[in-house]
Amino acid sequence: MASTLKEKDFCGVLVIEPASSIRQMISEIVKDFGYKNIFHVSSNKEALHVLEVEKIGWVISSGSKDSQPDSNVTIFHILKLISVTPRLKGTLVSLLTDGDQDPEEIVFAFEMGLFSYHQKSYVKDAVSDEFQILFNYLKEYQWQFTLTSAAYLRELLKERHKLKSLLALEENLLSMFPGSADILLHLAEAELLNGRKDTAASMLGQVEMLDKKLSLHCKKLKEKYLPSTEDSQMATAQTFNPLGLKRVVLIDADTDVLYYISELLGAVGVKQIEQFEDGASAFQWLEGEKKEPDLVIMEWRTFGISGPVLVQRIRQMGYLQVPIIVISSLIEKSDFPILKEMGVDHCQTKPFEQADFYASIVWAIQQNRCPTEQKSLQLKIRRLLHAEKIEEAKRLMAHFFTDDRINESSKLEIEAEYFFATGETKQARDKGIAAIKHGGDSLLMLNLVGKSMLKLKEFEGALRCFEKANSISSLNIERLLNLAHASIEVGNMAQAAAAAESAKNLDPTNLYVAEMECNVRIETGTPEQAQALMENIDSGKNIISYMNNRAVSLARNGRFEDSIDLYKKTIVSLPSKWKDLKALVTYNLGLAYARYGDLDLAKEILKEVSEQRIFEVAKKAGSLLKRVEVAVASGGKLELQEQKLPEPEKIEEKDPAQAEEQKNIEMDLLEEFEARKGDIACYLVFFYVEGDRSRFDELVKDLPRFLQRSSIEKT
Amino acid sequence: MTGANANKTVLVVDDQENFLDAVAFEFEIMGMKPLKAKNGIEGFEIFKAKKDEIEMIISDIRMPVCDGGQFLDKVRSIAKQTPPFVFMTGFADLKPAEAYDRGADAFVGKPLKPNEVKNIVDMMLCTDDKKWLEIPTNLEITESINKKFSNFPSSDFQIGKSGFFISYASCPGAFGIEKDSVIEFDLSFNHESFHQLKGLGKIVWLRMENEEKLLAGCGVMILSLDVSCRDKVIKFLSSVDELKTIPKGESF
Repeated sequence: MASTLKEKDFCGVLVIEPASSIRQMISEIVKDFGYKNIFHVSSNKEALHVLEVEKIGWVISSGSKDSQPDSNVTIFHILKLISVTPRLKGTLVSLLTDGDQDPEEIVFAFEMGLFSYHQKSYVKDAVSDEFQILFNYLKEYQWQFTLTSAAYLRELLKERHKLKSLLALEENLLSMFPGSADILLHLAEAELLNGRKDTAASMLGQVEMLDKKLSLHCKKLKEKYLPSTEDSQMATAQTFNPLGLKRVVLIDADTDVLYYISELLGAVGVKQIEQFEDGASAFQWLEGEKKEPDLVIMEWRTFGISGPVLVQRIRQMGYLQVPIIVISSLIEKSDFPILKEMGVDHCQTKPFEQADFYASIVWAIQQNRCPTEQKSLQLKIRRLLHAEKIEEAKRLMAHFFTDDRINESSKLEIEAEYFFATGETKQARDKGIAAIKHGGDSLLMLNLVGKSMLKLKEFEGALRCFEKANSISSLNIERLLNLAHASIEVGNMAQAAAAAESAKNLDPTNLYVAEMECNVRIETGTPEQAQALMENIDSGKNIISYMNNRAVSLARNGRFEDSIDLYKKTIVSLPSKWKDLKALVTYNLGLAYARYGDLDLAKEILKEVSEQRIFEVAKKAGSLLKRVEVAVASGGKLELQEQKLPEPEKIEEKDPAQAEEQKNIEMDLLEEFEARKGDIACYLVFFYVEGDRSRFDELVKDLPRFLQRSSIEKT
Repeated sequence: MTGANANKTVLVVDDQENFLDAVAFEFEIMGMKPLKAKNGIEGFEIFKAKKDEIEMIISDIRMPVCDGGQFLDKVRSIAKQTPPFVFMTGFADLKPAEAYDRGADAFVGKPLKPNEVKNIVDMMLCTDDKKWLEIPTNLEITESINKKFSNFPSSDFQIGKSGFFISYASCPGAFGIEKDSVIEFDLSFNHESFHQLKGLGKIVWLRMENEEKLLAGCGVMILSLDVSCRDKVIKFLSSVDELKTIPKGESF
């Protein structure tokens, strides 16, 4: 992709103008604004050749039709090509019009992704002033190209009295930027222009709530369009929902806070607000609903289930997208990295005022839906990878990796997360270590490197990572369980027990915590305790699976006796209610003895299992028993199939050159996406509902050939 | 537990029993004597009866029958400057600027942080000889304000018994000013008794734009004063009747 308009040193600018003197003038103006890479051509056809070869971020076109007889390329063709050619996706097009341009066509051009339009002049100052307005808009909208483009389009639609299209534009913009008071104000004006006074009245009230600075603008609109409307009438008008929130969950023991927050949310149109005074009832409700809410606002100190545990449980439920905002007097700014690690999106300190509250909510929702801030973008990518939405993550990663403002360590972090999510564990480990060395987020990366090392069976390394991360923050339950796991693997049972205990203290009713505690009890040979714990667990499948994998792994590493010992401990620890699981583990013990070569013992155990009334296991045991008996009788060896372990992690060994090539291929793949809403000015944001579609189709008929080439191939 | 504030009486007012009991318990641990009330009316009755005994009041804002703001007004109608009055709240429906102007001495969030009760008590019950003496450590200073005011008092700078209001117009380019941030200030005045104010302060409220009769600016709670001006400032402040805690920045 080309460098963007903001990067003046690198952005390629292409000026299209048949008259050489005007072309020269425009090029000089662009240079005065700080751009260095300027190309100029006299026709649209020539412009295509430049676009095929060079990386152009900004096209300034006079919009004239080509005068050459063999060319019927127009600005509309260029806009169309930009929208369908991934590599051109970042290219913006501005139109200089001398008044002859049909305004209808300019409106269509915006639908196709036109960025801005300006009055053409032969006077340098006049054109310079036009561009100055553009840069003022860009500054006002913080280089948000869709909003900048919308500013031009809005004025044009009002001028042309295309009010339905204006309304559609503002509605779409609000869905892209939920809670934006500015956009809501524009939408209110569009509603007024379309005669929808009640809706507009309600919106204006909400604008003032969201941003007091816009009160004067609201007042002017009211005076102009609603002079006779009383404030009380506005208050009773049906409230619009500018935040786009359907269901919000509030958790706070302070009923005053619950009351006020629900009032504030109600005032901006949120209808379903579930309020809870403690974490336990909130969690119970969330479990019962089975549908992710749109927003969770919670106090950090909650009763029943504590705040840190509740956040982790919400994320463990698979609710990875819902923004979680913590509003508390107990948190400092320095606590935020730890909260973020647990899954919190934003923090608001108490006591808070109305304006602070709305600002927090709007920011959190906007960053969640359309992240612009680096940290929000990283968080979104991370969550998408965690939810295995790899394609969506890759789309955001394309923006992330091509943004030169983002530092190396952040990019390495995202690479590490991506490789972990796609199963390339060794790469994940290596990138994670590189990220830490570059000064990246050590807590997250320590976690990731630790988990990678666990998968790669580098248990000592994994343990070190988890220990280090735990010393920074000891409230992460998943990490404590991994710490316990790694400790078991290195044979440090005391540490495993301590980690499991810490996890239990944090979240006593967490199933994963209970299962790990069982595993630890089995390993430490305290069967009565393990049995007592398992009495309270519904299903032992996870525990058996863990133990079996571990025993098989021990055997494969030549530690047969340890493997057999583990099977025996497991059998003794299982409660009587799990007869079928006990039988399965006993069968596995018999199989282990058979592999170990002790056929007499294997025969004895398998006979016992085959006589039990657990059909599937008895059948397997019976079958193996026959083979063992034959081997014993003949004095021969027993041939067994190679043990099947769980699918091993992909371990990619790549040399540096291959790795580089792989990265380039991946980056190319990342770019192969069609443009979406917000990628190119108002493309897919604005639809000219009042326009003549047949005329529109005529404008983009006969798309010229466009063949991307690298610069060395240009003719 | 013994300490300088042991056996002192504090009035705790909150309509929610769990919070009321929790906060009262914190004071008990410190060796203080908490009196409890469930709303402003109850609180005021207790205050009238034990006015000479009560050294500090800590109150919720939103309460039935008589809310925290009304309770503050009642207390200040019969006890202008003391005892210190602290609001504890999750939601600041009474704006801090308004509350400090009406006579509140501090705002803390609910639930209270560990050690917060002790910090509040130490701050509120500090005697003049120790007031603003200790320079707080481990604070990040985000902004410095140096200014010479030709008039005192003026709309742009108004002093209170615990802090001051300073207008944005007086400190252009002070971008590090955010709520709860710590600033250092060195202000000088053309006044016979009040020449200099130098030290550290915490921003406790902000007003971004001018509002009706109120200037854009911030309320600063003084944390410490430089030895060069401390004694003179304390002497000056004690000579002025009916000082607000932190003025709200009315233009005049």
